Amino acid sequence: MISVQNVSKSFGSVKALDRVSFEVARGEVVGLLGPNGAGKTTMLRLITGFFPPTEGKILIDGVDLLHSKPLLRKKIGYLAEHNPLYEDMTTKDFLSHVAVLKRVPFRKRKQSISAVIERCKIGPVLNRLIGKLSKGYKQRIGLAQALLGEPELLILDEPTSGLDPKQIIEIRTLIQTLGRERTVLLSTHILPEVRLTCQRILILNEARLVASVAAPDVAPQSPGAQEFRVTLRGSWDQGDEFLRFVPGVSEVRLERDGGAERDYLIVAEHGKEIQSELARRILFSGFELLTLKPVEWNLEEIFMNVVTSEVEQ
Amino acid sequence: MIQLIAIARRDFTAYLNSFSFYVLTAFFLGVTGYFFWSGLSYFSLISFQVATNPEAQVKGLNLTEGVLSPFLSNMTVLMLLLIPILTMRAFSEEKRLGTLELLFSYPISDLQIVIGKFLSLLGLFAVFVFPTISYFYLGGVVSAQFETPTLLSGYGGLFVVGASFISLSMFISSLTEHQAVSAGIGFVILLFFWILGWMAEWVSPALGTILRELSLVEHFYDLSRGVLDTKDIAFFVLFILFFLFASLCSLEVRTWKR
Repeated sequence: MISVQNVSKSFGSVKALDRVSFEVARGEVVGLLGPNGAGKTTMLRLITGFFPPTEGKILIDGVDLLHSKPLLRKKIGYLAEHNPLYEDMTTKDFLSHVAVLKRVPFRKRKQSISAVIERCKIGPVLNRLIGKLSKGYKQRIGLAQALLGEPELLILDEPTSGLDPKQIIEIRTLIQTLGRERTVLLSTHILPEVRLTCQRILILNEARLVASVAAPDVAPQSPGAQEFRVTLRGSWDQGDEFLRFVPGVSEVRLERDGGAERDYLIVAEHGKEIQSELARRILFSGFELLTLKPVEWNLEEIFMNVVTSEVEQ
Repeated sequence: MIQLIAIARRDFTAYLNSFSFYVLTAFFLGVTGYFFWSGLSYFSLISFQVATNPEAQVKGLNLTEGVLSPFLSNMTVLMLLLIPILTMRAFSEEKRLGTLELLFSYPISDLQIVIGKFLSLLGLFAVFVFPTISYFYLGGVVSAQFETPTLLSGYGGLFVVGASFISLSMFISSLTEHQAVSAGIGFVILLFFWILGWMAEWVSPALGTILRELSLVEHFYDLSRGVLDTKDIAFFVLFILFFLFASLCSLEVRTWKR
């Protein structure tokens, strides 16, 4: 559906994107992941035909949106960065306005508007001014306007930014259901977001596409060697040697010594399951086990991991 | 077409729902009301003098020359200041909020956006200006009888001048996301076009002719007396089209830069 071919974009001397190429198939939900300033928004704007690439080509179903008739933009629904909306309009007026602009036929207009209202659960705020609504509602109205006209391709720029955890979960669930029927390309800098909603992840870093991986492969834990953080309480007269004797443990590091309470980082051997045995031994040795949790990697570490594994391949 | 009307209608209602529009309208109607009253009083004073003293000068002693024409001229000077304020939101606001990017993602052309916005502003301008016609009929109740055709052609001229002010200010608004900057620059450039004819006196005759032809005030003079000259109308229509085209280019420029 989307074909990005060797695309670069420069703003003056700043290179926002550097020879990026990828394809998104029809029906795929793809996440564009990267730190702030990696070029995600620029990429999405290029795809919507907002401005042309400095080099390369972008085709949507074989058509260049920028240089073709505006009518072809019916294919896309776009939620722009920071979710711009006409804040002086009521939700209902805004959606009717957008329905006209998106050329929803007159006979279908009422029905399509009620469909997106139901879908995005904005029924309670129909007659209120958008400017007076909470961020969560605004975000849903942003999604609702993108959905109007039933576009085949949804482009969502940071759809959950600035929302509280409950709202984030709601929006994610909504995106997941939308992804079942259409192609979705979304950008984010939050890792769990793409893992939960996308089938494939494109990782952008410093203007370059560094990886394209299937979502389940980007585990939040370090692949291969697993690490755990444990907090124990008890008497340390006999030392902590027993931790090292747990089968599968390759390294034990004391991270905090708070008297009776200590934090350890425990590294397992490659591909070994150690949690249950570790917990059993700790309790058996007479300690209280306060926490035992796998160490989650942050985005940079995932980048490093993905980049190095790409090189290895 | 329906998309164009939707854009025009949205902007029009957004203005009508804003407090500043009413402040601006009240100010405009108040000041023009004063202009009309003082013009009419002065005219009646002169008429009285002529009636009592047959040897007094009689220049401008008809309602068109004595009241309508000065009134319309004063009104355009006021518009010079108010139209950039009325128009500053057109694109600046959408740029600042980012809603312009949203519009660009919809299946509508940039031309529809420009014309839609222009029509909404013309509508607002009409709301602004046409109530002042009532002054003349109120004037009629007092003493003076104005000729309706002269009045209508005078107002037609005023409307065309207003439309050209709007077209230019709208272009300025498309260049910046700061409304105040848009209004300020719009005012300065309109003023420049307004007084261009004055400079004609100081330069060479050839250049002087060009400056006079470009000056808004020169072309407005006949219109303000209710005389519709095709040359003047053509000038204003070209002026409007030129700046509408400039606004269009200003939106499209994003697609040129590689």
